[in-house]
Amino acid sequence: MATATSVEALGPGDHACLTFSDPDERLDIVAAFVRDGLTSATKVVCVTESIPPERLTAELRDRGVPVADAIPTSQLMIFSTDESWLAGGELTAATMMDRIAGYLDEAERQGYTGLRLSADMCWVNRPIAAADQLPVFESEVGKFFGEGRLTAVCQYDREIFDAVTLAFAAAVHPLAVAAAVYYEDPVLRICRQHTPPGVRIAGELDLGHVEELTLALAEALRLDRDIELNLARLHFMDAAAVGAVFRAVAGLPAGRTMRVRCGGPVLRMLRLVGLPDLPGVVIAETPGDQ
Amino acid sequence: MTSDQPVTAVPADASDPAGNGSGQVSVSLDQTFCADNLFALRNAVAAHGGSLGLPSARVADLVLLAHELASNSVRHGGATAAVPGRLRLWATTDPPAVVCEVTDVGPGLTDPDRAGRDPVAATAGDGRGLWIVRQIADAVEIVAGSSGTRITVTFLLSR
Repeated sequence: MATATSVEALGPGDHACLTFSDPDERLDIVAAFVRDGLTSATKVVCVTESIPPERLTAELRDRGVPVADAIPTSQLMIFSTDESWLAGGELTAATMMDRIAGYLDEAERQGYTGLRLSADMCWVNRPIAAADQLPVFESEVGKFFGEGRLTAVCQYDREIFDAVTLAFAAAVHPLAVAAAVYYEDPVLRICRQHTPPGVRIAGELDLGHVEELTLALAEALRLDRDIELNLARLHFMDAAAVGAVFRAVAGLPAGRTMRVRCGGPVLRMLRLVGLPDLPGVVIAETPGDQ
Repeated sequence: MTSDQPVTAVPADASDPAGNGSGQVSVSLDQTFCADNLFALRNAVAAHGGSLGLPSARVADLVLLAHELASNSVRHGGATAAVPGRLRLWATTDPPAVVCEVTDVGPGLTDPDRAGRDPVAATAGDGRGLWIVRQIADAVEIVAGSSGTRITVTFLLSR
């Protein structure tokens, strides 16, 4: 069974799965994985299926990944499934292994210390794909990790994959990456955001969870100089909860910033209480959620 | 007692809102609350706001207003599962408005006239609830006595 870890802790030779239900959270973790690869002289290949390569590029750029520098030098390469696994026409475990060997050789030729592979696995559900090749691939690919040159995060969307496949994925990957969750129940989720670093909150936040919010903000401000408080998926926030944000901002040393990403009713409430006017607070307005 | 030009007839007796002879008042929501069910309370208020034909941004305002009143009762007014607070919502036709009334048995505000009038210091973690209520509401009436507190706010449908 996979051991839970943070994306920042992944190193050469690690083979991790990322099972997700929130596409934003997946992109956040993938962006951190790509960013850490680019800063450690590693070649990074992203194979994307659920969103087109151009959109993945834009999503990475929005999260602060230097795609404009890394794509022209081909340190970062972003492919669709058709351009990578299916480029040879037939999709089998063997052709996928050949493809990865090719990426590894290319990384070595270009002088990179290794290869990071971000693989969106939902191609498995295409009619053309032979689902029986997935277990073969995930088992055989292990040999590349033993050499310590490959690091990979294979992404499984919980909405798409059946329970048996998800259990299989958890079993063949030594590691599972996930966002650090500070609090989660059916109404509210408070978790760490990796790119840009900060806190992401979804659902509804009120006086009952001020303590969790306070702890999450304090940790984010300990770990990073400037943070983003991502409230884009928050539908409701009350005065007690915003009080915790005011306290955190009041403790912000001069020159440090808290970017608050929000829209709709939450932004309206923040404006009513004057949060956007505080020194150090920058509002990044998103389309309203309601 | 304090009042910002009440724009509508408010039932004098909290236990008998519809029976005051105004002929236009009928309670559409009457729900008790404590700290554990504010989510359900917000959902109920949102549903009623939507049924009144309010645009979604105004429904969100009404929900925030009702929540802050209830939150105030939970935090300062002694509303608990054993002795819950009570929120009632009704529509009036002249002028077209929603009235939201929250009652609790807590000690009440020491200075109802001033409560929520002034912006709160940026360093404070608390005290913005009634400020928000006063920003959103078209009229606010606070009755604080030894037996508890009743806050009644008027929210005009067209604004």
